[in-house]
Amino acid sequence: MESPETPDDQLITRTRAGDPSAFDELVIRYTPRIYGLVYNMTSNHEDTNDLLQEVFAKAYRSIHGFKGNSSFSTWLHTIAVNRTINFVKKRGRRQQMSLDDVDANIENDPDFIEATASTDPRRETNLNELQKRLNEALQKLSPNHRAVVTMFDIQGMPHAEIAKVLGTSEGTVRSRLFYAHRELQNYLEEFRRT
Amino acid sequence: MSDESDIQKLLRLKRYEQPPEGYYEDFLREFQRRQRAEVLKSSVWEIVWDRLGHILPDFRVPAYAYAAIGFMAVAASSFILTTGEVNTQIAARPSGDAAVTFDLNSKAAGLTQPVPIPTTRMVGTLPPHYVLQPRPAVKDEPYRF
Repeated sequence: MESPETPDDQLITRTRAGDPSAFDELVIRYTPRIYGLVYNMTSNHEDTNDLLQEVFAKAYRSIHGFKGNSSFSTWLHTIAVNRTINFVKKRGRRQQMSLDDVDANIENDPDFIEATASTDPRRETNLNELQKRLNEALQKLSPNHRAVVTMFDIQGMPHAEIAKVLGTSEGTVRSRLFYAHRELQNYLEEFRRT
Repeated sequence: MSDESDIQKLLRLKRYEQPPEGYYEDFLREFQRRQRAEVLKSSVWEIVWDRLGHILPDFRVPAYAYAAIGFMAVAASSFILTTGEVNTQIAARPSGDAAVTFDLNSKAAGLTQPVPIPTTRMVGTLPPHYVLQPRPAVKDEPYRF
């Protein structure tokens, strides 16, 4: 197995030369991030798993066509976002949520502490309820808005990189974020009042 | 939670949602299994076509190859034109009004000269032929004024 320091471009070169273990290393390296991206757009673990297999298979087949104009991460994110948006559009409203477990570390997160403390103390905030409300709200967004929210708010990607992934301008990314946040605020209004 | 920043904080908490333990290791094994199955399933032509699709866009023809192809094209054209002229001269030998002449076993047939074959042009040069009745076909008396 490769050391974590091995740069992406070296692994790509070796993959092109016919070394499949180099691509395995790229899969190991990027699966958590791509999983987070796809999962937060679909809110379904099984769909995410299938899409993830397709994304990496597509990347493996197309690795010879990767010109290096952007980083491998951006290129891979582009494949994942396009596939997932197509999938979500086809799936439409026929969606079933199968949500992942929340990592126990969330209880130490300051945002979580603040969020739970700001609610009515008489009502115990349930983690599953919080997760459910957020996912419901996200699923009501359009696929493009969901992609932007996932990359910016959940994954913490900068506007410039999101713009590269989506092939749009930074202004478009900011605009989509603005409207997506406004929609989410409306959807979560009821939850915020309780 | 009353403004946009609160929404963003709430969204950031979603990064704590994780797949079941051991998922990533299983995912890699499943990926490798599918890749092997795909390679076994695909035909030789699919693999060759796939490889060509990746190689051809990067294929660069050296400059001298264009010159060599051009030279060969000129040489082939001049050869064809030269051969064509010889054939034309043979076909254009003087043979009277006959468009085509041939000499089949002239010695055996007792012929020493090529036999001209009549053409439509020769037939068309004959004067028109009319047959006139010695008497008019109408037997009525002619009018007298």
